Amino acid sequence: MLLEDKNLWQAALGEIELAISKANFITWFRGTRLIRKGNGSVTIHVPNTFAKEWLEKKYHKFIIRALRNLSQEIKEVEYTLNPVEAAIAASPAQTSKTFKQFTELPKIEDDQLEIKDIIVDKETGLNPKYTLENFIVGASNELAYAAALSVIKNPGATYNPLFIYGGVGLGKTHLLQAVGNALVARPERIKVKYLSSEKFTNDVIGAIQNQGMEKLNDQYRRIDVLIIDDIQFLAGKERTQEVFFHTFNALYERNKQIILSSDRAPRAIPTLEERLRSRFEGGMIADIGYPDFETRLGILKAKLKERGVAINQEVQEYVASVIQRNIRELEGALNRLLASCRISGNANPSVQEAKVILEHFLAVPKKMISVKHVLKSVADFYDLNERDLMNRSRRKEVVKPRQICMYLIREELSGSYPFIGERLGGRDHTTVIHGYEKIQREMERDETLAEEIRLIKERLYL
Amino acid sequence: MKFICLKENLREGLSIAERIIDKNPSLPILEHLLLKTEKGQLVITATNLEIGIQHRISGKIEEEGVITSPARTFSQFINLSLQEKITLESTSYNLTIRDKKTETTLKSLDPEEYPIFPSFTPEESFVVKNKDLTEALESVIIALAGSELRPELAGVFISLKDSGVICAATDSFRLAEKKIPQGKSQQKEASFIVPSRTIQEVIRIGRIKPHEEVEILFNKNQITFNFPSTILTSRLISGSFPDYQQIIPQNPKTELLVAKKDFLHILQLASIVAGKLREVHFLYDGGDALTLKSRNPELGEHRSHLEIKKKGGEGIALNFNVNYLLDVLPLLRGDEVKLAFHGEARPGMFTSPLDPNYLYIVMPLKT
Repeated sequence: MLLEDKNLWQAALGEIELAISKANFITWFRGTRLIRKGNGSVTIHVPNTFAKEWLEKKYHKFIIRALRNLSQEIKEVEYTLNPVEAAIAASPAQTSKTFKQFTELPKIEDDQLEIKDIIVDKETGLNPKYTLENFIVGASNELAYAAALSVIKNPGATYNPLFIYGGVGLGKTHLLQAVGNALVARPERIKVKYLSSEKFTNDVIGAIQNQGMEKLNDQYRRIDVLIIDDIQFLAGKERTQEVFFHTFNALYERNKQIILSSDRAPRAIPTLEERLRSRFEGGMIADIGYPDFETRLGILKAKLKERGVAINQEVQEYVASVIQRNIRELEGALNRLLASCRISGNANPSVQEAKVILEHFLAVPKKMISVKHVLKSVADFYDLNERDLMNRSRRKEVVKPRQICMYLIREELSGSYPFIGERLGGRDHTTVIHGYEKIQREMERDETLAEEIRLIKERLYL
Repeated sequence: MKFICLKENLREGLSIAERIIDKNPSLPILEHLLLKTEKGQLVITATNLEIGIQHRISGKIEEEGVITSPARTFSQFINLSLQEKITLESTSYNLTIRDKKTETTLKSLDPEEYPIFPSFTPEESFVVKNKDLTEALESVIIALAGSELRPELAGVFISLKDSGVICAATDSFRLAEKKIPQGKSQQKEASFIVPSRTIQEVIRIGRIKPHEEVEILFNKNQITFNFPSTILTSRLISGSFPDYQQIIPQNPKTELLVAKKDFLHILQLASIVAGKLREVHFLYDGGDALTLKSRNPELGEHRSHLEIKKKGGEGIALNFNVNYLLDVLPLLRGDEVKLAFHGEARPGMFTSPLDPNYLYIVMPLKT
């Protein structure tokens, strides 16, 4: 129904455009929209009072005539300033007075806390904005979601620990927080604690320095559900892992639920103590993959609804089809599009216009990476020294990463085999060929490897 | 039209009106001022379609009439005139500006094409002293969001309550609120959000006659400020301003009183070597001094001690963006600043002990 109305106004504008100068048309008709039609009367929304006066007093005749030419039953036209929320189903977000209003402003820097962060509950570390309801489920995350539901139903019983892993910006934190929020909302008082492994590490360090270890252990063992985000950061931190190991046991033995998230599967976290790895693998492991088109579209719709804004279906589909990586990017593109609309006053861009607006967004120039970046990223990922990659060592732990370097330099930088050989410790180009092809083959067989390489690439381009 | 007036009055009126004119408006006539004689005065109108200004100047009307004139060019001539009196005379599509020694004729446009200054039915109105209004607005605009991404944050939130008029603004990293107490209990409660551009103009005009009053009329979409000789009308921002009362922290864990001058000085020093995030570390261990540290991996580091005049509370270790603090210090009344902290990841509040009506809170950076 709305589409018809929109077309009606577009057609009328087309006629009006021919009758007046371009400057006048742009000045007075930009941002106008037909928001109601019925019983022979039509209501046009105008962006400011000056336009209202002008259209009413100077262009009314043109407008009525143009509309009547298209639809004879129209007898009167009204102009209103009232925001277009009238046309778009008034979303609770607009009328709500709570802090949901403070949704993401483009963060200047990640470290600067925003006022909305205050609504994070200090005790639990949970932010009420993450719920199961606004977590969009699709093929890429339905396993993780189902596992989460199960945990909520029976914490500590079925899937313990629950280990969720996946790439950047795919919703791990959202899901973890949503589980926490759902548990906290239960009538029986369940003590939930959510924190990042970084915070856990800091707590441990603090406790060591202040002789507060006993107090820390006590504190962590009193909770019913422990949720730790980004557990991969424990890699290489022996003391912290040890404390975590004991905490884990203390909770697990009393059937207390533990939920963890990571950017990769337990077996792919280097320098993770074996005993921790086996405990993680002893529970339920679920991965969250990249959302498919349907899921992305669903997420887009949900975010639009949350903000009480609407853009037409084609543009939504376009954005969902073209932003394929992660959900944060989707949100970023959405913000960009909406901001552009607000500034230009055109609240209903066409697909063509959206393409232009997002052009800069999409064609983010591939960050200039060099061999040095590749070496560093791979070394960091496997917790090695860059030198190890270049020396003569044939230790298994070093050979594979080295071969991965060869693969990446070849793939991403199109380095020649001799060049790569030289940069990786004066090796022969045939060694490089072998390494490259080996990785290529293995990637097809071994999903973990493919996953690792994907993660490394992600970091390269961040 | 023929109108004679003092150059100074004309100059002042032009400087008020022309500021809101867009540099490259979509319609050429928007670059013009509308000059019309009305009820014994000359009314100068300017608009950019979001804000409209009408300023009235007194003078002698020898012939009624209406004409337009390109704002910038017109004001350039008036600004440079050395004479005391100016005569404005129009013929069909020209305006002649004449003083004792010079004569300039500028081409005009058809005044019929000039946008109609909107009238609207106000729902509510109230009155404030210019001085109070401009002071309140100046003290909250420092917290405004520069970006249009969240329009409801791109303006100043003004709410009318029994106790008075409250102005607030935030960019979600810091928030400023100033109350203008009103003696008698007013009309019913209402609130609206005024775009930042409009606020800037209100401040400029309000500063001209600080001891006079301005009458403010508004409805859901539009607001008008009736100053003594100037009317400013503007759209309002639609949308709801967040309910920020919730986040104003109570029960500080630490309260410190410091000398404003010293605090400002130390912050300025610290800001030189503050890193990309502009962070300055505040360290307090319950003693007599507050330590401020800043560090820039490329330049170096800095540390200084600020003597505390009155202390109280727990130790703190928090990082704040130094620019946010430098923004507010010059606006705090008196020689002392009260700092209140509420724990990790909770905002710091900066106020003047002399002004219970103003508060400024800043979210910290992650430690």
